[in-house]
Amino acid sequence: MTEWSAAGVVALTGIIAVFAVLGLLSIAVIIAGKIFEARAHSKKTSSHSSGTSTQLRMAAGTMQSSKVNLHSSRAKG
Amino acid sequence: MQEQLMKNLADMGILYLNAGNVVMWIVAFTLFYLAIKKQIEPLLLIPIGFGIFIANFPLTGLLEEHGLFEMFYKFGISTELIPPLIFLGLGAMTDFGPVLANPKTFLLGAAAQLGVYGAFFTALLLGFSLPEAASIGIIGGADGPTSIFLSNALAPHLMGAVAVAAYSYMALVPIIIPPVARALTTKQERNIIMTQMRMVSKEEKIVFPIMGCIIIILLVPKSAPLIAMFMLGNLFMECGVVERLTDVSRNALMNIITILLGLSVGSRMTADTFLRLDTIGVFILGIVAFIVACAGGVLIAKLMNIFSKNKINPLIGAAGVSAVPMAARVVHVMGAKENPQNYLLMHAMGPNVAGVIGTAVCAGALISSLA
Repeated sequence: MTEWSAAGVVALTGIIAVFAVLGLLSIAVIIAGKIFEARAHSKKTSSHSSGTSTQLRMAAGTMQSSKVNLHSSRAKG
Repeated sequence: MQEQLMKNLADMGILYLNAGNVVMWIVAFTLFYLAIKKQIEPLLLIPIGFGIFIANFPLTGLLEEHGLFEMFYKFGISTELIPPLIFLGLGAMTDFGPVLANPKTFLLGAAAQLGVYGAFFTALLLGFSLPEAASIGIIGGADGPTSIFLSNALAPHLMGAVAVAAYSYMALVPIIIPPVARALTTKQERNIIMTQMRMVSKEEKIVFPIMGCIIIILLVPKSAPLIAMFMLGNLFMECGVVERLTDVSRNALMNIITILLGLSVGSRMTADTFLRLDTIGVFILGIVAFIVACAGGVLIAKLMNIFSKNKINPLIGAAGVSAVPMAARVVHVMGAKENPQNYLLMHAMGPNVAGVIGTAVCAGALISSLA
């Protein structure tokens, strides 16, 4: 009788341990996955917006230099 | 001179060969046949078979205190050194991507461990002691190194039979899984098409082994030898900056350790330790363990579908038996037969690799309770 009750305790402890460990691991993986996805998304967003502002600055610079050229060619003429 | 001659004659092994030795040779030849002709787990069955063959020659001294096989066993198995080193190699070969993409499948790996306890109770019914029943039950985890690790700790006299049963049944997974999975699922369930998995980033794969160690080892410290080495091997592979260590772990080291493991395990199977009723019990209970493990995974998958919006194909629950990657392949083939558009392989790899962790945790819990 003692052996069966001991066996029951061993089995219950083991099953709870396995499900608890793997359950916690799955929760941790879900949370980590969301954190990494959010980071990746914010990196993508910020690189997209910095790429856009770089393009705007380059366009402004081009316009500025063409204004200067126009001005200097008018001055020469 | 006559005395010397008589002494030399008396030292000839052939005079001491008995029927038990010959029966064990037949067992060894059977393993050779399965490995060479049928190509069933040859990497293990050949060294194990050879260990059995040589260990059953009389008067060799190989199993005496400083004998060759005794030293392999003493330094590799009884110190519990070899199984964790195998786990190092396994970790360096395992991709956790599928289970990280769908973390629910961790629970399917846990459910497959019900086979361990099903066989555990059945073994107790047949009169085995608690440590023996646990050593037999772990066959249901379908993990050779873990079976050897646990049985060596709890019932070393059963280790040989447990190891051969575990590796043999792992190879029989294509025969065991389909009827069990088919019996427990409907055609509609088998036809469930699973949605594409998300991409898992490199950073997630690098963080997982560390996170896994923290959670698992803090909760079940006795699983540390297996889990720590498994996660180390995985970290080697995923970090991408130690290719030499990854290469050695999964190739040279694994091959060396496999030879030593096979010879050590096989050499334990002498006629007097193997040819007993207990051994038949181990083999019968091993199949019970596998069937209950497969059933457990499928049934938990069906249960999860009751509560989940994104249905999972319950066939992948059967892949929770940690015979990686064979169980996942078998499930994929079953799913494709039902619906050629269904590609279950990567989905099934999730519970498959989760099962490896589950079995190691199970072993740790059993050692905590019974050692």
